[in-house]
Amino acid sequence: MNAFFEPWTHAYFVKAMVGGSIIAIACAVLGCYIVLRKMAFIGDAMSHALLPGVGIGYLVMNALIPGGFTAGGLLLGALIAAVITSVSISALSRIQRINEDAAIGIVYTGLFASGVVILTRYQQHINIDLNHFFQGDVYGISWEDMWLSAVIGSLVVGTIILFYRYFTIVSFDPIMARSIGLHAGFIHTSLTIMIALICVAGISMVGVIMIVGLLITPAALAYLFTDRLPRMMILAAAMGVLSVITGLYFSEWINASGGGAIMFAGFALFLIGLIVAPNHGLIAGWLRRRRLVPITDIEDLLKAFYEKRDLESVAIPVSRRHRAIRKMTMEGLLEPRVGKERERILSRRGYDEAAHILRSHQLWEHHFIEQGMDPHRAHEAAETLEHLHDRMVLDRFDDELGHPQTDTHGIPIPGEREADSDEYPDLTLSLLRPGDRGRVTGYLRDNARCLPLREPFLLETRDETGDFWQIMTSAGPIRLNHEQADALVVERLPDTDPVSGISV
Amino acid sequence: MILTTVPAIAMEHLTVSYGGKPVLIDISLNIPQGMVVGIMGPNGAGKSTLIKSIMGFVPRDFGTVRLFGKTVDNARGHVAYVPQRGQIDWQFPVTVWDVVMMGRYQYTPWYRSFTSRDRHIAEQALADVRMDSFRNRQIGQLSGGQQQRVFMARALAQQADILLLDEPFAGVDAATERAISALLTASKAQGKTVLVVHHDLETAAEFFDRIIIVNRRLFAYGTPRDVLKDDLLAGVYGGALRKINWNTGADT
Ligand SMILES: Nc1ncnc2c1ncn2[C@@H]1O[C@H](COP(=O)(O)OP(=O)(O)OP(=O)(O)O)[C@@H](O)[C@H]1O
Ligand SMILES: [Mg+2]
Repeated sequence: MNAFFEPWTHAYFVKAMVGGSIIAIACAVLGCYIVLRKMAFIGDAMSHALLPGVGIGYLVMNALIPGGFTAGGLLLGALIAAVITSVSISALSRIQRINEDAAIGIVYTGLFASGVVILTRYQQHINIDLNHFFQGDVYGISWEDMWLSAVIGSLVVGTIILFYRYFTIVSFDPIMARSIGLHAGFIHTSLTIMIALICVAGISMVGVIMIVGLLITPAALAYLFTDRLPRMMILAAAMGVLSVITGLYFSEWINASGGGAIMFAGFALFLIGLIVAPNHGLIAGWLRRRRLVPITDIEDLLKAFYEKRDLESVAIPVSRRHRAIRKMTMEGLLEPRVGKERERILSRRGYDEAAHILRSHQLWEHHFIEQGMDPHRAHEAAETLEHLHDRMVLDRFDDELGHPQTDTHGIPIPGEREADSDEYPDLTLSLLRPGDRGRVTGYLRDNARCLPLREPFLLETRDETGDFWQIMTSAGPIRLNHEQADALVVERLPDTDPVSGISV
Repeated sequence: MILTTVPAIAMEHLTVSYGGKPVLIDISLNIPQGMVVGIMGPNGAGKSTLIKSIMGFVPRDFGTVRLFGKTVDNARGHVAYVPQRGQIDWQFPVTVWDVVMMGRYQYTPWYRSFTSRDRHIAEQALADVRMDSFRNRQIGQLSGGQQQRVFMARALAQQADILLLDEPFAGVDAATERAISALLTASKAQGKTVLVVHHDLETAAEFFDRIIIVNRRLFAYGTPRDVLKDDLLAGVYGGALRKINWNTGADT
């Protein structure tokens, strides 16, 4: 217990907690836009490119007011460096053959190098060493740093909250933003300046690399957990603070660098989140893949139900079969038999769907045999290809084969049940079976106008040798040829079909 | 209030080029208020550019565009635009509802929050495109046609006087097509001026009051009867035109 309370008796620990949390919150909220706008590399570049600005700012301030207030100099120098970075990146990337990422890489390493030169040349005058720039010193926070980060932190978070809508619409839909008079460039620049501000406030605490980490990692983690931007921001802030708390305890216990420990904690949190996140996480993905019922299992089972075969004859493992049957019940393809709740039978929809799969198998098989394929191979090919049962393809085969009523084994081929207006083409009279009732809804060709619109009819017989369809209408019997039957768009009127039942 | 005698859109000698290549050449036309107008022409004809120049998104080489007698910049807020291809990141953490509410941003300065009227308008817009049951969906979890409808709802929520739709019928299913065409009718009834870039010659006559045929130059502007003539279309589309029998809509 003492290990938890003892550190709080040291002022440096309290200051590190408070200062670190302020920076973490501001970084996390700003970081959400950086992640969403895919600006991570710019954030990284920006933080490094500040070095010459910070160095020159320190030198100038020190020369003006020796030993005095240097934070102002640092801030100003950093802002100037940020603007130079941002302007030169966009200017460079306007040149053909220099992409934005190349421009970023060139500009920031160049600026960073000049910072290194300045810092090492004036080493004796500058109170910042490179190591400090990289690692910061979270336990050595001065009151000046504390105030600076509090002011900058509230400025950044306040700006984002007040102008939330503007930042969001420019990030989400720049075209719409422009059409209502918002300028993407202005918003982009504000974000860049805020990155620079945060870096200045945070570098002395956690160093430049950890600042980038605090900007990106908590926001990226939160993005895995939510679909709403406000929640993403709150969650990211919480994750940032949690990284600071666990990181500081950790560094206290094992006596490691504070900044390093904070970012290590952030990284560890990210890894845990990556594994457990509900939708986008690794476990969720694995479970989803496992729960996935292959569509072919469902279709094979549908056929077995339709043909009233024993389910054991379907060659899939029992556990997968049970999963498939549960899913089919959920989707309304199967339903419990009245009175025997454990037994499953095909629902109306399941029956139609099964008939459709069977028709697919028969037409594929028929098609291959017609093409001269050996019947045994044709059957096997159809067993695989029956799962491609797009209506366009099937109706085409059906037409090519002359709308056969039975397959090559003499087994009846079911007719199509209905045209699904959005997904499937029209249902034509040629796809119906004797005994079906229907109503005319349209014509594909003029020669089909022998029946008036909305005229109900009963399909009496189908003569395959003479290739005509005999229908009964209110005006008496009519005989249609193949062309007419193909061109009459009809709606099938419901009837009562026997539904098969099998226990599971 | 806007005077009804002022044309909604007035272009004079509009000329636009990209890198020295002229795309729109000397286009002059007046579109009266309350019309539903189709813009037609082959690929690369400059249809999208015509729309963008009404939005002030492309620099003009010459000529003027006036909306209700005002310059494009002064008429912002009177125009809503649904682009052909937006630059949308579909994984962005916003819901259908958030997107439609963006249509109200222009009426909501940063220091104010949305009013119940804003919410009511967005609600209505969602219902108009039949997407109300999807309001809490993240925007990426919709089909392409549903996404299209959400963006249409956002344009409606903007309550603009001019609606610019760049190929709203491209790649949508029959249900979405019906929803969009119902919207055209409803917008017209509210006195809005609607410009629609459209490719299907067969449905053009039933959707539009006027049709603009453009291929860099303005080829024709008038009622569907006057504009959709075989010889004229053949001139614009060249050999690419399928000959259409306008009376029955069937191929000849
Ligand atoms: N940003 C651009 N820079 C250079 N050329 C462009 C640009 N945008 C369009 N163009 C060119 O201008 C011409 C007109 O383009 P526009 O997008 O207006 O055509 P469109 O009629 O909308 O075509 P589509 O039917 O394919 O949408 C095309 O030749 C195109 O290549
Ligand atoms: Mg276009």
